[in-house]
Amino acid sequence: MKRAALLLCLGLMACAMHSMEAGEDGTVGNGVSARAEPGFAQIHLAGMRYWTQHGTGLDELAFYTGIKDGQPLFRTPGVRIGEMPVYRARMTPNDIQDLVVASLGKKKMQNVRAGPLRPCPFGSAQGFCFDLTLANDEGLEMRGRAIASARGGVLDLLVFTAPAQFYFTQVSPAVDRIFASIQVK
Amino acid sequence: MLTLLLMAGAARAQPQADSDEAGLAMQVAKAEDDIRNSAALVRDPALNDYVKSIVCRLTLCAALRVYVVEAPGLNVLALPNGALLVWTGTLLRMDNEAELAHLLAHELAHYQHKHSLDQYHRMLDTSGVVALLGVAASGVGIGFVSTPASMAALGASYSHSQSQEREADKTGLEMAAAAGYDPAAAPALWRAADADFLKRHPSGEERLAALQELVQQMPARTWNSSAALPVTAPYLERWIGEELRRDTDTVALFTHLAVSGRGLCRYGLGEAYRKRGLAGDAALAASWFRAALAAPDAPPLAWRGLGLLAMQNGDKPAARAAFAQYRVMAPDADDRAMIDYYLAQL
Repeated sequence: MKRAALLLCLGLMACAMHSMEAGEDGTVGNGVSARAEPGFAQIHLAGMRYWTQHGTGLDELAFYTGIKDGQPLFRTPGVRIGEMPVYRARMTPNDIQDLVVASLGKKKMQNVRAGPLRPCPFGSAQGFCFDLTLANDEGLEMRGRAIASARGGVLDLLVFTAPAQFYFTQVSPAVDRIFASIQVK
Repeated sequence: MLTLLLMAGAARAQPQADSDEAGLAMQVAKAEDDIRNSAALVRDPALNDYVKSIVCRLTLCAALRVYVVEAPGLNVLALPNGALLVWTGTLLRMDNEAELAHLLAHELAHYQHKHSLDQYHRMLDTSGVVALLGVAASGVGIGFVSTPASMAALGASYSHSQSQEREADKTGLEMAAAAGYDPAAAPALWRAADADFLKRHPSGEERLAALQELVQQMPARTWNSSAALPVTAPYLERWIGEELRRDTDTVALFTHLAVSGRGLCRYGLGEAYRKRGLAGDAALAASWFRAALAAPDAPPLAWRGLGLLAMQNGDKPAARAAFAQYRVMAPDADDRAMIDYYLAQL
C-alpha cells in the first residue's frame, strides 16, 4: 500500500529518485560530471536534478547546467517564466553571482546574501564560487555554496543549500568533495 | 448594515463570528502573524521608529503597527487591521520626507475609508468562490505570508478601484498637509512612481490633474522643511544592490535617483546601463561611473563598474587600471580574490 502511494506520489510530482553508489560518476548535464559521495541519492524533480543526503528541503545540491543566453537558471512553480531573471552570455562572475541571488529570491528564499566571490577550479575549466546565507519562506536560516563556470557563453552552475543548523555543517564537507570531483568534457 | 470593522486609531468592534468581516479579520490577523515573524523584516529600531514617527504625525497611531520589509521596488501596504508595510525600495525612492509622508498618508486613507473591506465584499459579491480560490492560490488566506512576494500578493488581492484611489488621494493630501508636509510633494511623488507601483495605483493624467487642483486649493502656509531621509544612508549601498539585481530595466529609476548627486546613485545608474547592455549603454555607463567618482562621496564600486565594463568590452588596459583603483579604495571588498583573478588574466 505504501509502495503504491509512493509510486502515485512520484508519478504526480514527475519525480524520480535513486540511491547513488559512493564514487559513482554521475553525468549531470552539458558534459559535466561529478563523483557521488556516500549516502547521496539523486532526484529528478520537475525537470531538475538534485543530489541529497536527507531529502530536498533539508539538503540539496542542485545542478543547473547548459544554461544559454536568455534562459533562467531554473523554473519555479507559481512564477511565470518571463518573471524569472535570465542568464546573459556577456555576464561577468559578479553578475552571475547577482543572478543566483535574484533567482533564489524568486524561489521564495529571503534575505539572500552572497560572498565572498572567488575563483575556483571547475574540473579542468576555470570557474568561480561563493557562499550563500538565506532564509526559506518559513524563516529557517540556511546556508549555501555555489560553484559555476561559463564556457562559450553557456553556464554550468551547482548550488548547495541546507539549514544552517546541523545539515549545512553535516553535509558541506561531502559537497566540497563533490565540487572538487567535477569534470568537464 | 454591516458592522464597521476598522476605525483608525479607535478601538474596533469585534465582528460577528459569522460575518464577512470576521472572515477578513481572521485572514489578515493570520497574515500579520506571519509578517511579524518574517525574516524579511528590517529590525533596526532607528529605521522603524523613523517611519512610525511620520505615521504618528499623520494620524492617531496607537493602534497602528509599522513593518519595514527588506525588498526592492516601490510598495506600501496598509492591511485592513492597521498593519502598515513599507518596502525598503520605497524608502530608497523617496527624495524627501514629505514624499514619504504623502505616500503613507495615501495608504492610511485607504485604511481609514475601509477600502479593503469594500474590496473583500466585492470579491464575495461578484466573483464568489472563484475569486476566493484565486486569492488562496496566491498565498493569501492559506499558507505563509512571510516573503516579500507573498506580502505583495496580499496587497494585490485588496487592490482598489479608481474612485477609491481618488478618495485616498484627497484624504491623504489633507492628512499630510495637516501634519505640515508640503502638498506639492504629492503630485511629484506620483509622477516619479515606477511602473510596478502604477499598475496598482493607476495614475493617469486625469488623476494627476485632479490632484494638482486639490494642491492649489490648499490654504497657503509655511510647510515643514523636508530633508532627504537621514536614517536610510547606512542602507543605501545594500538597497541599490537589491534594485540592480532585480533583472528589470532600472535605468529610469536610477536616472531619477542620480539627480540627488549622491555618488552611490550615480554608480547605480552606471550599473543599470552596464547591466542593460543595449547599443550605446556602455558609453553611458562609463560616463555615470566617472560622475560617481567625481562626487564628494565617490564610491569604490564605481571603479569596479568601470573595470567590469572595460573587461566586457575587451579594453584590457582600462580594465586593469580600474580594478587596481578598486583594490586600493576597497581593500576589504569581498570580491577581492575575484578581482585579483581578473587582474591576473588581463
